[in-house]
Amino acid sequence: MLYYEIESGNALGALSLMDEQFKNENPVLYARALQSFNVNSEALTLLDKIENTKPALSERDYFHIGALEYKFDRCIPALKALKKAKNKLSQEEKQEQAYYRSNCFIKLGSSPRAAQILSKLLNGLWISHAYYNLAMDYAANNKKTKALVSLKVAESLNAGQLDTEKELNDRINVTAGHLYLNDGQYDKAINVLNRVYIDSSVSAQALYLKGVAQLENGNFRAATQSWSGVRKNHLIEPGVKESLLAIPFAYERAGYTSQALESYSNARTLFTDELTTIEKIESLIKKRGVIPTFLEGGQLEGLEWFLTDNSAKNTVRGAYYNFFMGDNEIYRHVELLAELEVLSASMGYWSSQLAVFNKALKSKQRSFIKKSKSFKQKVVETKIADFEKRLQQLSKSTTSVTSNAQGSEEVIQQRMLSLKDRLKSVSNSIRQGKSKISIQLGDNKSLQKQVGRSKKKLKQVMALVEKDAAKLILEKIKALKIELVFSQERADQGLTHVLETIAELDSRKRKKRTLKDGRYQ
Amino acid sequence: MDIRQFLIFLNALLFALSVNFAVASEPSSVEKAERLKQEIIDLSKKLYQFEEQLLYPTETQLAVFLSVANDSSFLLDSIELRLDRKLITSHLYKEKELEALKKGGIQRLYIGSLADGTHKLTARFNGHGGGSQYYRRNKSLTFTKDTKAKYIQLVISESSQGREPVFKVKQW
Repeated sequence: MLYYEIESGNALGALSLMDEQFKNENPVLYARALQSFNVNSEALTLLDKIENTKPALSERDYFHIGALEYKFDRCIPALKALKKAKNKLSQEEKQEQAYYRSNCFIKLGSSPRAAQILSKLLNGLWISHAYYNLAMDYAANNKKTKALVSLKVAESLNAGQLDTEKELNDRINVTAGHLYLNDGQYDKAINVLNRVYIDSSVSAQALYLKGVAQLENGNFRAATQSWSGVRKNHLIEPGVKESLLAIPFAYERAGYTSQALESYSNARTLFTDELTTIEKIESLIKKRGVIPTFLEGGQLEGLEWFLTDNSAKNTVRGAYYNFFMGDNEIYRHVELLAELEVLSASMGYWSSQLAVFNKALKSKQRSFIKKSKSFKQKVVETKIADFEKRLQQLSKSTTSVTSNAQGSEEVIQQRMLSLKDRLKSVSNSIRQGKSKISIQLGDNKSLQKQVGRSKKKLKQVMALVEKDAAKLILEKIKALKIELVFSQERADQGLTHVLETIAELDSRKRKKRTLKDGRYQ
Repeated sequence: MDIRQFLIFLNALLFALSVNFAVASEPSSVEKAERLKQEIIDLSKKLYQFEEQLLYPTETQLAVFLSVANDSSFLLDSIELRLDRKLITSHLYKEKELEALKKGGIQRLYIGSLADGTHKLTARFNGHGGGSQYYRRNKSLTFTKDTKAKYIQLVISESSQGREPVFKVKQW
């Protein structure tokens, strides 16, 4: 039952049901449940204990230990454990194992070893991801050809049907496009970038890179068209600012100065507007906190702009939420807030349940006292004794004992015995029942106090976590502001450059006019 | 303005797409939250035990479990349980839950209280068998409840001939 709860994602349910014996006999399952519920320090301590005590474990246990060590970024123990899980894994588990092993080797600086692991005729989404990561490692080390080959393999292993598979393919194509572009292979870059879905999270990057490749190929119009395609994306998405600045640059290079001026001006306006939006969000977070700003449902009073659609895909709130959640530390804090919120709701539920139990137990206690008072044990005992006497007299006085009469006597005797037993049982229930209900009432009261204390602590800890999350988000906002100011300045520089160019052209034209009649004016 | 500079900028951006291996140091609010979670797990255990003892004492307890054989190709959509013709629970299955069953997990479908005597439990299984054929099958069990807890297990397996699902009900 606990295995079902863990595998189906109900880690809290599983942990609540585990007793000490189960934890001792199934340390790996216990560690998995702890990690699923992000009680990581406890899970790490347990993994160290398993390593030291070396209990008897199955291959599947070693696989799970390897997966946990990987998730905790402990690559050497991960590799040791994963090596022990060789044969008794399902096909999908083998792919997962290969993913963890190859990523560990990449982290430890051994990409050839990672490639060797992946080459063992495996397929599926796990391996596709692993090849993608290998490609990124090759690209970071300037091994472009190997990177491109790995990307091709990653794409071929990906069915590309589900949303997650499509997302991976889009990232593969953007990375490949980037590599081809850097290598001067513009047609190939355009070809792969064309495969990125228009509603993908990396579509803006793909459009920007495509535009650059088209411009390098001398196709100015196609380039500006690609860059114009990012207008449906939010400004903070990667590739959008760059595209907005690339359009006027291309116009300027092609000699269309008035269009360049207009585009620089438009870009500048958008950057300025976005800075205003960022400042509003910053003050929202400082005033209300992270949870009401980003996590709570419902309209924020007077802040309809935050929830209005301003692009084909997203509200402002949605776009910024995605932006912040791309940061690992912020993601961890927000995830933690969500978990604590669930626990808070659980404590709220138990608080009401215990209040209901308290009422029910008190009512049961009153009814029990009333009924036990009305039960006259002595009277019943006397009646039973009386029946026994009469039965004895009957058996003595009967002269001709027929078998029927004997049989009836036996039945009556058995019923007498049964009555005595039931009377004994009822007396015990009356004696124990009262104290049992009192104990239950006491337990209920104690649990109510504990739940109350937990609710209080949860509130305090959530406030701390929210404060830290807000701090991280505000730092990210600061960095974003710097980026936008930089982009704004680039737009200003561009505008200045175009105006200077226009002024220079004007001045040359004037000089030509004055020279025409041979005299200087 | 240099397009190459934009490319360099994007280089940094694109490599953020790769798996992030860095683990930041643990801030104190996270540590506090972890400790509190552990406390709440311990408290939840006490609460569940208390609730079970109160609402479903051993003498009157009835629990129904479900398991699926790992060689079964039957894809369970939903299940309904009736006790003495009254619907006591139903469940709609998510992918993760089906995977958990396939991996050998046992689901506690129902826990409740039941008076002594004879009762009839009927389980209705809805789902797809091998070959995408849709199945709706009822399986019943008549049992006697005495003063001890009663545990009943529903098992979905596959027949050795063909890929027909087989539904069994057994008592512990």
